[in-house]
Amino acid sequence: MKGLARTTGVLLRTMWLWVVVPAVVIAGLVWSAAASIQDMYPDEAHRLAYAEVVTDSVAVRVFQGRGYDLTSIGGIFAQETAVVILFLVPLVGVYVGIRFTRWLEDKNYLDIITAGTISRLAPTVGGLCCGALTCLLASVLSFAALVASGYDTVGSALWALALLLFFLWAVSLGALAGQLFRNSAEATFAAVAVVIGFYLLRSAIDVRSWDAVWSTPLSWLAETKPFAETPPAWPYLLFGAAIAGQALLGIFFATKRDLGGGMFAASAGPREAGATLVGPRTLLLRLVRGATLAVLLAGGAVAFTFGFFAKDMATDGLTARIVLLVQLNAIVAAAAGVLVSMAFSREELSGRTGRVLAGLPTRTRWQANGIVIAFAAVITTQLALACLSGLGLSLSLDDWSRFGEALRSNAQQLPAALLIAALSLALGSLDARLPALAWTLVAWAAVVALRADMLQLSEGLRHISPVEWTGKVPVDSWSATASAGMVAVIVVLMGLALVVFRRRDLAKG
Amino acid sequence: MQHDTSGKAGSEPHLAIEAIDLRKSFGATRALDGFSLTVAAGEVHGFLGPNGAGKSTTIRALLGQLRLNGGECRIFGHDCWQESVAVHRRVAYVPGDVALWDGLSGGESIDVLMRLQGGGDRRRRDELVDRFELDVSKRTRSYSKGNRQKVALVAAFAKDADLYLLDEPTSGLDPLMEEAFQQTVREIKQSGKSILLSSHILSQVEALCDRLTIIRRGQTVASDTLEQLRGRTTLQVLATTERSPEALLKSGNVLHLVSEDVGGRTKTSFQVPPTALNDVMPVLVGAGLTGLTVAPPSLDEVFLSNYREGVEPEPEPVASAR
Ligand SMILES: Nc1ncnc2c1ncn2[C@@H]1O[C@H](COP(=O)(O)OP(=O)(O)OP(=O)(O)O)[C@@H](O)[C@H]1O
Ligand SMILES: [Mg+2]
Repeated sequence: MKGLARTTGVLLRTMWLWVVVPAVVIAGLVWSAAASIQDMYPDEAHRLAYAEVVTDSVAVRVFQGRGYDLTSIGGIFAQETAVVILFLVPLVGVYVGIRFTRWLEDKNYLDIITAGTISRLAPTVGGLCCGALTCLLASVLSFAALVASGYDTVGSALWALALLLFFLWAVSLGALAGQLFRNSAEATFAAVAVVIGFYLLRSAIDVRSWDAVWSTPLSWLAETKPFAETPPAWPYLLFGAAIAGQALLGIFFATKRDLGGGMFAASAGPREAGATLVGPRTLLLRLVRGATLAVLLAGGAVAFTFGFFAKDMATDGLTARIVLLVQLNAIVAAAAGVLVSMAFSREELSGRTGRVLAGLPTRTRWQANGIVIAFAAVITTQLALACLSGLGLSLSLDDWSRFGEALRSNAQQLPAALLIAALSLALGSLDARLPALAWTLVAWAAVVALRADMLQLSEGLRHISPVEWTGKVPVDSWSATASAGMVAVIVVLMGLALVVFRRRDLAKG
Repeated sequence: MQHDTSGKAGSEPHLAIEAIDLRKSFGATRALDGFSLTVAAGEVHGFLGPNGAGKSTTIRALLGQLRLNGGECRIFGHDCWQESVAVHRRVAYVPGDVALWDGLSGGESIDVLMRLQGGGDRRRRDELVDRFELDVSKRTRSYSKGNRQKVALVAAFAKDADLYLLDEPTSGLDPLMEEAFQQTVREIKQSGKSILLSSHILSQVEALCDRLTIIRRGQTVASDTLEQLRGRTTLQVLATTERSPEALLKSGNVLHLVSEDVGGRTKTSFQVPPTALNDVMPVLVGAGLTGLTVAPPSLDEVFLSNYREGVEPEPEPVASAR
């Protein structure tokens, strides 16, 4: 294929971070989990106890799926990491897949490259190659981490192979979506929706013990049974077939579509703006509603499911699970706020803020609107998730006092979510490229909420996550002072943000 | 902070733009280095200069988007940074690089922009949409470069502003649309409004502008009417004489001298500043002048000479800040 090497070279040179960072993050997680699990389940007795708890626990099935070979250290490792791998790898995978196959095109760089003497397919195939490289690196590094931590070599190799296949499946799914839709944003939206659909299907299959593990790739992962005596071949083969199918379909569509377009033509829009687009606030609202709605729906589905299975969780500490549910809701709400804050800064980076501010809105008004909308997104998300998880809990426990309790404890956790969003907004007021940094805090909060005990994190490390500051509501009593302190910090941060944004250069305009 | 003391009612006629000694650095890049610009009310002012000279930077400073390191800039007497909203009330802007909201249609984008700049005339908007032949129901994502530009133009011209800041407003427009643009600018000029027109299209500047300023490496190179600038640029002289006009060689004012013998006569071509023509003529006459053409400098020559030579004496092929 003419020009394949050249396009791959260009992609790697401009986006090598997208090869290295996801691979290193995943391998880092594998490494830390591998080491700590070795320490926690040193002997047969510990492992048997673990196997018993896990097999009984429905909560574990919701988030980690079915476990196999739980009396071996490798099996425990596979089961424990599943909680992260099952959502992180598909999401990162589709993002990487879309990034490599579509991003240059969205930025209009590709027109220049494809105008040269290269094949029509080179950018897509080159993008797939780069995505595959990310997967391969993640897999090889993870294998090295497992072997270095003293895990069984054959099992480690098979686990790394399963990771490679699972990651590749997500990358090829992203690449396929990237060819079907008109731009990265739409493609990401669609691919993430597919992943969430598969996730929920897998949860249902695992909780209800349905005999349908063949129906979702997220189930295939556990079925690879890398640490079994004789692992089955079919999950590996199924992965291979799915990857080949998706990649070939993506390449097929690449031959059918226009550069810069998708398989579906854009619909015509209104000739005039409606009354809902009257000022900065409604405009901003319009710009972020898609992303916020997506977070709300995805988070809501998980919150309801989690709440609804609470009854089955009773064995495994219902209250602990409710605490986790409240924390996760706060983290999802914070993520919605960070997304809004990033959308707000993207306006500036694109130059549109400059054009808007050449009109009548003052900088202060414009940014105040951004802040209000980001906070509104956080509050709406948290309250909606509170209602949905409360509904799930009440239905499954047949106890409607749970609904009020869920609302109350979610409201108590709200300042933490707002604080994370506020941090992102404050970073954006400094420089429009910075708000994404707040994702590290969101991610850390998630790690602490889900994995603090397993990773044996110190108190200090746990308390980097604002979600920990409130206290473990509703089990522990709510710390009003901590919440008041967070509100004070938010007010100060936003005051500073308004001043800073008024006094600096706009990035573009 | 934004007290609107309307410049129109003021006793002294404010300048539309008064920028003095502007300085702005981006890290090590000095984008503006003591640049000054004045635009009188009711004037169409051309703004020219090589790529990266600082035109867009100046316009963004005028809009209060950039915090200057030094200098003072006012629009209708209002400080561009301190009183940016009072400024924006009277200004319409077409950015050099038009970015629109992907999800909105062209019509929606125009309306949003109009509302954000304080409303505008609906009839005028529809008239402009017709004039620029814009399909407003298309999503902006699917617009061509020219169409995106049209959205920005319609939104800006639909506003009844006192000053229009146009940063390369017709890049990407076809000749018919260029004509529509020039017509619109003339209408605006007739109603007594001011325009700052940054452009690389020399014929456009010649057709529209009363005065112009040339910027190079963040400094003012020239600021005058086109006629005056032409007057300062060298004339192209073609002379046929009986003898070789060697004395010419000694004059320091003569540039690009080329002589050749044709059938016993000497044909000489050279360039000379208008002021030096007086000294050159006697020499030519003394050499037995039989034929003479003196051509005014072409527009291109006027600009190129200003783009190239200038504040710094060192000769360089093409001026560029980077
Ligand atoms: N935000 C920025 N950060 C860093 N450098 C900048 C920034 N904006 C402008 N510059 C630099 O300032 C100088 C002037 O740029 P400017 O955009 O004003 O040029 P221009 O005259 O509009 O050029 P063109 O004709 O190409 O539009 C250039 O060297 C440019 O690289
Ligand atoms: Mg420019």
